Amino acid sequence: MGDAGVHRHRLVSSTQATIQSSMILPYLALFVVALLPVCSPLVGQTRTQVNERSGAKLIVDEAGQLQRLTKEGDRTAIACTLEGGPGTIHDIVRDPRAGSFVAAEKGLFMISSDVDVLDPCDLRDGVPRGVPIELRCEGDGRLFVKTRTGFGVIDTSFFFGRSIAWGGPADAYAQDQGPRPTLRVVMVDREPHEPGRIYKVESGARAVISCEAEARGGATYRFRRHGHHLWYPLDLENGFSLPIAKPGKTAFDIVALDQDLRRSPVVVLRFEAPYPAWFSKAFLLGAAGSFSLIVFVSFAFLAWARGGGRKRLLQAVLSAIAVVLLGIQVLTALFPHAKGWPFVGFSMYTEKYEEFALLYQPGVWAESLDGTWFPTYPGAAGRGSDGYWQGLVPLVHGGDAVVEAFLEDYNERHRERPIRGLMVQETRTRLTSGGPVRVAPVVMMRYRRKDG
Amino acid sequence: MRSQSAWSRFWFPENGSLVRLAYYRIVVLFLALYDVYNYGGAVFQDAAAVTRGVGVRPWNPIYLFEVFGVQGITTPTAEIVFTIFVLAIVLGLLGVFTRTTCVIIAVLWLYWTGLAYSYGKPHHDKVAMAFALCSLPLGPIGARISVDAWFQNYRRTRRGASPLAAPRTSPFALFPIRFTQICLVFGYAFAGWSKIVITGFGWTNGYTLMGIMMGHDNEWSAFFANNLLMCSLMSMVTLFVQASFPLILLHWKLRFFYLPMATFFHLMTWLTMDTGPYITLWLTLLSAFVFLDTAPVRMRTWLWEGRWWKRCASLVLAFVPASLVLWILFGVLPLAWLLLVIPVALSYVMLLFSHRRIDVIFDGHCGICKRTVVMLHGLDWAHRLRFLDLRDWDQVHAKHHLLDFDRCERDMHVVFADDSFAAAVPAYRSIAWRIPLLWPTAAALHLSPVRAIADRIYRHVADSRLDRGCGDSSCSIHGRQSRPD
Repeated sequence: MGDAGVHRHRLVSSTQATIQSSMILPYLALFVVALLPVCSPLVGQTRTQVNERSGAKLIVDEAGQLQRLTKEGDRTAIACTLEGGPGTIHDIVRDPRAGSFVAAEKGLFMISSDVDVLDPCDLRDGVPRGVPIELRCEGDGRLFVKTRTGFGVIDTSFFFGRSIAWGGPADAYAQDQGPRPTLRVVMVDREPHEPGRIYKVESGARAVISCEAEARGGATYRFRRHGHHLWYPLDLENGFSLPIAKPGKTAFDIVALDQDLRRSPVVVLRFEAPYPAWFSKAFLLGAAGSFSLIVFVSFAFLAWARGGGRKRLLQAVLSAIAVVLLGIQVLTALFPHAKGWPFVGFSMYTEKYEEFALLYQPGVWAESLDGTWFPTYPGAAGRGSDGYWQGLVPLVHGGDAVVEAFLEDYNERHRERPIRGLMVQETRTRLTSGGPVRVAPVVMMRYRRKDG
Repeated sequence: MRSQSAWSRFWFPENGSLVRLAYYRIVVLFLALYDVYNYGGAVFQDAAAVTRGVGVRPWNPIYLFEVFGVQGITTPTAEIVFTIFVLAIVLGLLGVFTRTTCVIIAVLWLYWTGLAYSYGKPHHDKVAMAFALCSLPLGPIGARISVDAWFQNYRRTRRGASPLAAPRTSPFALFPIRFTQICLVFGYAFAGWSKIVITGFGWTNGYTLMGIMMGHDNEWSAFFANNLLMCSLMSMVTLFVQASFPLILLHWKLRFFYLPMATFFHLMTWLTMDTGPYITLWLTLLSAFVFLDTAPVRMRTWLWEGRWWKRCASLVLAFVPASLVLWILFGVLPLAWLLLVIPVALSYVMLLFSHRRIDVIFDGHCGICKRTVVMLHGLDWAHRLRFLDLRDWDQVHAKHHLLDFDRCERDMHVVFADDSFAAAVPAYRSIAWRIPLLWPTAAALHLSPVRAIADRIYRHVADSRLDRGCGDSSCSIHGRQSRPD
């Protein structure tokens, strides 16, 4: 298990049966029993306590209430953002990457050592159904879950999952058998994909995708917009097609996943949809020029009708400039396009949150050589970015080489305080009627140098 | 025809204040200076990346750049652009070739900002400023408080006009200001209307503002976000102010509601949403809607003649916004730029705290005197000098009956509030103490050696103007004595 802080209620009879009886054996047995909770992958039992990163313990008391016991011996009851609490707690497991997961009657919950409230996981597609009763987490971004009705695995960064045909205990499941999945063939609109090719499509069209992959338990597929961080399901069986809603260049990353959520290397599909005719330079400049001319002639005519003169002509010119520029501004406000700056739309902050909404705020933390973590930012390693994800996506999805390069560049710039590890995580806030509540963060990537 | 007339009255009122336009120019250009430094980091970082050829952010040009085929620049080019830019802004602030300079500034500012936005994503905080800068050259921006105005006045004076006859109004003076006002109104109104159209009035449910604040976490976010009712009320007020902002154009008194509310809104978003000070927006807003030409005098009137609450209000209005603006600006600008601000700030303080003027008696038939008055009048930012033409002797004598015409004709005189007076170099020294830019000169004139040299020079110039003429085509001293009866 690799989780030294795990304790269990009872020992398993099959393990006990291996102990021989003799005069000394009872003592030996007691010794083994004492060791078992920390070194043995026991199965089928419910944990009632885990050690947190901070040194505190999370304990499920006899009343089924979750409590935190600090190193100093202070005991505090853990609240829950879900009204009515989590219900009966069945299992609790620490994620070596971050906080702890709690399997309870009302679902799967999270908590971390820096928050004092239990919060339901924001589960997405593919997650095994039913009440979770047993958990297993090894800190590689996956959580194996046994429910009353099935078994499956959940990605602890994005919270999508997959059901697995397995009837045994979670700890006994042998994951990652066989090679990693490979995405062998990708067809775009029934044509085989050629790496580097840019597919010309109509704006608003949908590119029909089909894939073939070798993966344990059969492959499932996911996609994300290139440069974005969220993975969406690619439901090929139901004729899924990639949405190319906007004109211009669009790229998608496709991966195949096996039943254990291991991912294949990414295949990038690039599309280019032509801009509509009215987006062309000729049209826009022509239309703007014609409009300007019409407006100016109109004002000039009015000036002439009022007696003409240099002053009135100048007023006509300025009036035309005002009408044209303000007219373009109104048009842009109605049909916003960011790249039209300085003519912009004003639809910012038009999102709407409801009660119990969850906010995600990404950030990057660095680990110094003495093991302390502190927040940093992509620019500290010379990564210019406008918007956090632009700088964080390469770290989350780029693999170890990208993170290593980041560490190199960071240390080059900060010789006085070099770092050996990096973590990208999203701190999360739950909006409640009593105000915002900070809940356990989600770790998207955690890396430490092997020699660190 | 009625609508046409209303249109003209709005955009081209005959009484458009040139002084207001000049103050507006100075504020907008100073903001541009701040912005150049503020965005300089991003532009130079990208330029360095282009120069090295590594770590370049994707170039995704704004449409304007696409049309003109503009590309990213290297560090040497960025340095050249920056130098020209800063130089142009200094000239624009001083009012040297003002219109041409402002055209250059507008183009370079669009270029500078466009570079930053083409490597990243465009933001909306500088839209009003973009229109303010671009519309500046469309008005007579150098007609007052500028070196250009000095020279124009100087030339007029040489042709015989009064040195105090600088133009005060122009039908084109308000055009750049009006243009910016409309852009600002569009900005606020569309922001409010978009919220209503997209989310309905559900935007005011409290959770939305709570989420927005926590999503852009800053020091005060938690305090406000913890109270759902407060969030809901703040959302309602925000939505109302934004959606109804066009009403500000209906009556000027509505500015007393909308300007503080909008400014407060931006300051609150800074403290609760970490948006940054947003000064490029709200200072543009204030400079476009506040009557910059009369506001200081109005505040002085309140300060000295108003009721107690008006006095308190004027003190707060006079110093809190100004201090905040300077604090924000000099958080970015190098402190050397304070050299530009100090004389203006001192003049502002003098304007507020002293309404006693001294009368400067000059010879309206003397070219040298008139040109001197042109210079002094141009520097009298604190409104501490009142110029009286000796040739209107009746008026002068009525106010200051102790003065002697012959002596006044021989030397420049100043008369203080208590009717005492000074002449020649002491008069100039008194004048210099009332013009912060000339304070070093005033102090030097207290030193005996300097005073002695100044006396000799003054005497020589004053005597020789009577003996040899003063180079003014309209000068009537020479060959004609005009002592009044």
